[in-house]
Amino acid sequence: MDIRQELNRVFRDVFSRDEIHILDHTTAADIPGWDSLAHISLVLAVEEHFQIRFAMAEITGMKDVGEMIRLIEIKRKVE
Amino acid sequence: MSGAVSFPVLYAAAEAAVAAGCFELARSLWIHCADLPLSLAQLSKLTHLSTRIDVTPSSKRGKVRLAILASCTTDHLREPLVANLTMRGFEVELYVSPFDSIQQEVLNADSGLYAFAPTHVLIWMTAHDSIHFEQLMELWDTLHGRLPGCQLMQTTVVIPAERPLGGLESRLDSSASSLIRELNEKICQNPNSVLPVDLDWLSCRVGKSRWHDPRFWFHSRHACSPDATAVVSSEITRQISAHLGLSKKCIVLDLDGTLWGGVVADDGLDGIQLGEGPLGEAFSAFQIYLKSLKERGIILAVCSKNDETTAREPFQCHTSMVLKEQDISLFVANWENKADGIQLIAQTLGIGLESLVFCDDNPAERKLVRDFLPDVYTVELPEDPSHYVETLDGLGLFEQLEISEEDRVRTEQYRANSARTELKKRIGSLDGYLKDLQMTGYVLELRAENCERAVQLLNKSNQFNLMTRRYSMREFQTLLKSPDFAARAFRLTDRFGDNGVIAVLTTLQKGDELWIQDWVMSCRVLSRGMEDFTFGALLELSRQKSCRAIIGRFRPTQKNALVAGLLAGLGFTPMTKSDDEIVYRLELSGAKLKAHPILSGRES
Repeated sequence: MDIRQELNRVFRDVFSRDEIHILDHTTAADIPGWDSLAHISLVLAVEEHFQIRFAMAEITGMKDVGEMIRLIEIKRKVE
Repeated sequence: MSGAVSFPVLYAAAEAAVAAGCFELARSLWIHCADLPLSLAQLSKLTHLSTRIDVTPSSKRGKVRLAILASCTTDHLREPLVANLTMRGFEVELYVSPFDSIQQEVLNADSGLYAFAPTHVLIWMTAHDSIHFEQLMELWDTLHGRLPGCQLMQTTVVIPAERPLGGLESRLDSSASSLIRELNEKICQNPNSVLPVDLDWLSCRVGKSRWHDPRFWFHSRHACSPDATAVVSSEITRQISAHLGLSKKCIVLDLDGTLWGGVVADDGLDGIQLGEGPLGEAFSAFQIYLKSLKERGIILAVCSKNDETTAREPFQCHTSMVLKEQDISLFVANWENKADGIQLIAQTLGIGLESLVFCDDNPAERKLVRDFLPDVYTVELPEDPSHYVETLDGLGLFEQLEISEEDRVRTEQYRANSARTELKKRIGSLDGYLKDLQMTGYVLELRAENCERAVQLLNKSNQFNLMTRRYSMREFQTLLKSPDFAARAFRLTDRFGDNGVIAVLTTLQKGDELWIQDWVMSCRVLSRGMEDFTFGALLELSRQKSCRAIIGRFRPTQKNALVAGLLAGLGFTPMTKSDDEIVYRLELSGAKLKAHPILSGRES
């Protein structure tokens, strides 16, 4: 399974919505419930799933899903 | 943590129970889950599941209106706390004060806090607050004055992991750590009946480096990592439950595999693992932990599928047993199902099922008890006994706000009480007691397929046993094929449940005489009229077989003096006496059946 598919599963789990299909340009505005509190839950769930760790600036700076995927790719190679 | 107990297994079971509409079971499993250390992702799955569990009003235990005043972000706590308290049967409403507004909320009589009219107020402070105990007491006083009857709860301050002074942090009483430690002590020992919630201890349990995630402190003022939310929510729930008197009172223990390794009936007294070797030490450690629970007033009971004599032997004779017979308030060892045994324990002790905890290494027994007695807290013991203590302790089931002298002597009281009730029942009015038991007896015709339990009973009965004959399964099944041989088993039920097969009678027809080959009965049902009930069945059998007389024999052993007078008591006449047996005879024409309180049941 590629990162996008895996990440999609994490999104569905965190937001409890099976109809979520993430795209590169998906942002918090596109997914109901994705507020700053849910963002922390999402970040932690992604960290747990991919066994990686985001820096604080990355947590606050991620603009869309595409950026999150790129960060996961880089961190997976390194860690 | 150890990961010894599996969240996925419990969660899947809870989900299945919800899907099947078994909400009581789901609720019980849910609470089990919530007591485990969980990641935020697991916690949120669990929280979502809670909304699908229909907590019926009958299980409601009153209203909790909890207000949280904090100088840090507590938003992640909201959902799990509501879920946790709801699952324990509370109707719950939560008020979270605006961020970092403890003083304003308390001092302003028109604040949202007072409008909310809480039953419980929790104040959560962090090392960043630099507050003095005197200031804290003033806040408490104000709260007490404006909210009479409301229970105040105060967190201890979590000592940070980082130590600018290094080892001196512990040595210098002016260091930040020392000052917080001193404050925490005062909070814990406070004379103001404020209930401490010891977050500093909790942070040690979780591990301070895991407890605090600086990213989320800087990002959004989370004093503890969101992953620690589950344990915080659990701890607050436990303290509130304890305050409302809902803590567990009694722990029901299995024996083989739980208190010692191996099976005492198979491995023998010297074969069980206890005291020596790594496994033996793990079991001893568990016993030591249980003993300390007993010493603070938790009742210990045993429910084991065993012969009572065999089950008691390690308690009496094994030198490494930490727990002794006098530590156990109620000892239930038989072959009946454990749900019945546990119910009997609750009834005898006079406590509700929801006050019981059940510990058994066998998953099948745990499932049975969960299915039939969802109110009993069944501990999901890990396979490895070295994690037993950690697992049980981690659940925090026995929270108490204080320990009285009465608690310390409780075990004795319960032992004495249960003995007394029994005596009173025996002496007071035996007839009334027996009638009260609402007993029904069932006669089973034994065949090769259903004789296993009967053979077991024949082989292990020592006291109520006329002939003390032992059989192999095959021998007995062969005998059953003979047309002159007949065998009956007797099952007894009463208001407490099914006692199972408790007596066996076998006969051999010789012409117009019916010879009793075996007559055994479990001593648990002695003096309940079961002898007379069995005798009734014997008379019926001899009539069916058109016999004129019944011949009975008694072979004395060291253990069966109990039945020396049985046949004479039923009207038999002694005929011959040899060294090893006495032969009795009863003419059917002269047979009389005494009245007994057991109704005759039809096997469905």
